[in-house]
Amino acid sequence: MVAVKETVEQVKEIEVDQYKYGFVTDIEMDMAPKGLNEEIIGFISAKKNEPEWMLEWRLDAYRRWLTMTEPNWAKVGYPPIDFQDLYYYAAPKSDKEGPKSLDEVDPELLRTYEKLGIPLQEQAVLAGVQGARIAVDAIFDSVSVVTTFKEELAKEGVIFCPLSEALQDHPDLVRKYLGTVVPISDNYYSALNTAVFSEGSFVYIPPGVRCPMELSTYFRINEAQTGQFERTLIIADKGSYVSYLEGCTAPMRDENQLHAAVVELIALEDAEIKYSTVQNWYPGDAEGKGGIYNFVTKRGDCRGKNSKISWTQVETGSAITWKYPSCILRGDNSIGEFYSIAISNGMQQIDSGTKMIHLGKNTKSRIISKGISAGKSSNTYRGLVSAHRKASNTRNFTQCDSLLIGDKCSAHTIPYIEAKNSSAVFEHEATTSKISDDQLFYCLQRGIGEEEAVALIVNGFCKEVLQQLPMEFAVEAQKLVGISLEGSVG
Amino acid sequence: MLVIENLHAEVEGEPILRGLNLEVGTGEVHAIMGPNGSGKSTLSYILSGKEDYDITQGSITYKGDNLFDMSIDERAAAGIFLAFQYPIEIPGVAAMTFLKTALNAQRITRGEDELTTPAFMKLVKEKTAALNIRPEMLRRSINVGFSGGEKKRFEILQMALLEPSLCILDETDSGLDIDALQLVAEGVNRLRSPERSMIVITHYQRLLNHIIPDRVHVLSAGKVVRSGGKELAMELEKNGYAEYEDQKINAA
Amino acid sequence: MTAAEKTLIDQFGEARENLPGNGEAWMDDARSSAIRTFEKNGLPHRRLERWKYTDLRAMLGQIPAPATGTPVSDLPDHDGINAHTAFASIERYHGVFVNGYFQPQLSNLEDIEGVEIVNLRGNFNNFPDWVKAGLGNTSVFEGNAVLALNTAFAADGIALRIKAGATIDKPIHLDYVTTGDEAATISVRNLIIVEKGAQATLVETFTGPRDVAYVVNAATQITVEEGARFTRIKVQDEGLDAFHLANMQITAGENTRCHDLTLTLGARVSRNEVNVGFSGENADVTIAGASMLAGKQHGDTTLCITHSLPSSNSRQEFKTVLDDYARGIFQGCVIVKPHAQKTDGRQMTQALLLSPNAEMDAKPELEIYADDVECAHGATAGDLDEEYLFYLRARGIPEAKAKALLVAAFVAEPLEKIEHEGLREGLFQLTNAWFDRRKGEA
Repeated sequence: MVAVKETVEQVKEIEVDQYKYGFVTDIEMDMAPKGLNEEIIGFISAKKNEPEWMLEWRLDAYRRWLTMTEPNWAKVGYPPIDFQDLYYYAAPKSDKEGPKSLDEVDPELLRTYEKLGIPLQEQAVLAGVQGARIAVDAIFDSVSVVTTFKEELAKEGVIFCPLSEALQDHPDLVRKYLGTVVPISDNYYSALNTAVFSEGSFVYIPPGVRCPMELSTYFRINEAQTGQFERTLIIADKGSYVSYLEGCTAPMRDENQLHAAVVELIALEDAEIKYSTVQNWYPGDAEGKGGIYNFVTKRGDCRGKNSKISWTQVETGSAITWKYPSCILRGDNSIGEFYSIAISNGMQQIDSGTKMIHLGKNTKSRIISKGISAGKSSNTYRGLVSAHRKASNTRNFTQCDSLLIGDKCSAHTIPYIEAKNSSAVFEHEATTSKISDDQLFYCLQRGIGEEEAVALIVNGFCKEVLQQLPMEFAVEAQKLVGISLEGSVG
Repeated sequence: MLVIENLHAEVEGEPILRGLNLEVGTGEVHAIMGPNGSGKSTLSYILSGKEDYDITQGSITYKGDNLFDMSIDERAAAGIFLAFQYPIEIPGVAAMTFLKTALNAQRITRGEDELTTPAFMKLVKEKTAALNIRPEMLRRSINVGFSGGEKKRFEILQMALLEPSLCILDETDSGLDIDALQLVAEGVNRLRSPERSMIVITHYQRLLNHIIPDRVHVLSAGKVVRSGGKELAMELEKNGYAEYEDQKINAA
Repeated sequence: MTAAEKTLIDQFGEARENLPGNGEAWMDDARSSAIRTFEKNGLPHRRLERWKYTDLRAMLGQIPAPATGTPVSDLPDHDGINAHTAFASIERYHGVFVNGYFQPQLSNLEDIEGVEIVNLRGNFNNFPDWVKAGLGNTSVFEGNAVLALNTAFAADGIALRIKAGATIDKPIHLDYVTTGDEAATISVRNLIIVEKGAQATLVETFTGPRDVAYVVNAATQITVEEGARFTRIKVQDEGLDAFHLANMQITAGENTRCHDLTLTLGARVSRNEVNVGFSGENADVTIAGASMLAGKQHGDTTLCITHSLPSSNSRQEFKTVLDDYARGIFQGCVIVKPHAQKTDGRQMTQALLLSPNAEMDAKPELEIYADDVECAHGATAGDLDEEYLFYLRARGIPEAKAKALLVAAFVAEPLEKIEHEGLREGLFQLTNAWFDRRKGEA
């Protein structure tokens, strides 16, 4: 491993941060005063013109949050967060009337998304060579800037819009499902999110409809000292299918910024939801200054028989990642999947994994987790697989592999396996190793440069997960894997 | 020995056997041939009592008794022996322990005395020699690390040791080269006797050059569609199963 | 503070004067420090990650009084196989404890060549330094309330020093027998040093009456010095109403081979905790075990192997069989500290659930801070393979017998690695008899 060690040494000398999404958009903002109290919550609710029950729900969550304490079981460390020293609402000033057509969006914002490579121009997307069409909901700090392809989707009966808009246009749907997967007091950050979330995406796929294109939300934190608290709710009605993508970036700032999102997925009978995330929030600099605290609650409910929820995540960003996209396998024969690549670098800390809760009969789950630690980072897989008393004939297969690059980083695997039913068959395997000298030597001997060789081997290590991503994302993710390691390794 | 009448069986609602009739007399060797998926292996599992099948109609009488009243191990003790197509590997259970446990369990069920260890060892030694089985093979776990040929020979060794009345050989020739096939066939032929019946299930005729059957039956779409003497096997070898595949489609 | 915790503290106040070593400053300090640690933390409960699945505070409602010791002339008879009888026919050095008190008149531990033996009820004044250093070490029970209680209450035990270069020709069997109808708390503490290049095998067995809710708190500290080989076999076959709380700490030196095997059969609630550390490189440590639990038994195996130095191997291999309403717990951790390069750590835990009401909770952990390592763990849980059962039954083996065979085969793997033939046979007798013994006890 001499070669890699040398690489690590070289990298330490690189001063330039490689995070290419670290620019700030200079735009006039409409902000709520700093701090968190019932007035602020009332302010956010009023801004969104929410019905009374929503405000009550938020206040209920806030009051419960006040009685809760921050979780301390994860293998992450950070100074206490002053929740009063944050802005809980920030919106571009030009965005007064809520969502609108693309023509009316502030050109500065459009340029931001262009720089990020997010296709907001439907025409441009349509004319694109790849021919891949993705509908995008672009969220900038606390508000949705624009949602594309809404009309085309509406033809199929698919609803794809900001949650605040769904509350106005489809209040019954929202009320029926919101908070049914992640209850108010589920955990500290989800309670906080419930109290103060300002935006998010809402998706509803009607019975029997196969959503004609990939849906995507692009999150951007721009403003300083601002938390982003978005809330996503996706409902796949009976026999429907949707593939949803989520991407995120933020400017480079010296301070830590909080991102506490909640995502709820509901799959009814025979429905399938595929949820893919490429998380590339600003990770902080090489000394660990700045970066996003990504404290996220993501949970899917396979509510109907034969339903399926599949999570795929590529986690390369954030100073701290604390997220466990989970599946509640309630419907008989339902299937939950979790495919994850978590790359930590520099001073990054990741504590991520999944929960597969088998409640229904013949439910199956599969977990493939690939953790790569480099620099001085810490990377933990934490997962729970449980079969309840009445969940007969459940199956789980878990494979967790960790790769260490350099001798200052760490990798941890903490699975919890709880079989309360004798017909459950659970298999768990995990390995921890480094890139083998032989593999590296083989590549080098064939004339492949060292950086490229590491990227190649790591991509091979992650292949099983990369394959799960929608094609147009997979290529992007593969590059990201290379870049993230390049950023601090080679 | 064995009378099967109008046997219908299904797996998870999918019919596999659809009115199978078969009669095997004492001391007779019957070959059952047929295309893949015709229900050959299903028949062998049903005879030995595997619980994955629903019998929807029909009867099986073995030595005058209703076979369906007997559990898997009772059938074995009563002399039904299935030589598996794919003998399973059971880690941790030593082959020798297994042989002794099986033999004595059957003896107890039949009301006979258990064999003493020396008597048992003597018997095993006798039987293994003929089948070219090395004693150290029996110290390993059941079928674990055995080659394809060793697995099949171990099946025949069990047959020789347990001395059943009705032997069912399920595709015993599969995966064997010609030498191994010969060794296995010799082992089987040594066990032929006027008191012992055999059902030889095979896809190919080649095994029947070594184990000459008294009767040959063609199974297709879950029932016997043709029966004849050993020359029927030759005919099948020449013409294949194409005409019976058609019948399968019609039946389906 | 719960009533049980208060009882324990009161009991200590009353018992203290009669505990061995009372008045010896170093022992008094160790006991005081231990009871303070306990006072501060109380009994372990489910909010502590290491006790997540065994909430001792909730489970241990009644604390029986500390056992009192009287010499006995002979042991109660036991028909059939248990941990006490399974090894009776092998050649061994035999040390008998009754209700936690050593019984020299029933033992033959005197004059084993190459072994120095110190009984903890002996004269503390004359204890050699290695005993004082071991027993007086207060850092061992930090964060371990059960071990702290053991230190506070330890009423007897044995310290063994296997002298440098000595090879002990026969296994040393420490045979803990609990008797009587009165529930008592038994606290024993052993100390073992295997000096440079020495070789020894230790067997520890625990048996007791069926319907008495006695509590055993047993702790063993083991130091294995450079080049030594040490094997310990423990069979926990307590009565089915008992609590069995055990701690073992091993420190493995350079080029040592340590092999530990625990067979868990008894107790209503058991917790077997093993912690392994290293004092040299190139050590090879195997911590293995099999648990066979039924009824409402609760069996917790918790181990942690901390590789703080380079180039050592560790293996964890555990099998758990659960029937009826039994609950099995396996928590196994491999920690590789920075600089412990070339560590090879492997861990496997497998559970067989025979009843729909049984439960297995497994938490195999890897915590790695060094890059040039090979670490892996695996965990499985499931029921008996129907195909195996069918094959055996198709050969005429009745269902119950076939199951017993398969269960014995399932747990055989770690047992087969015991080199001493007589001990291995004794272990197999116990696992083979498990089904039949349960019938007898039902």
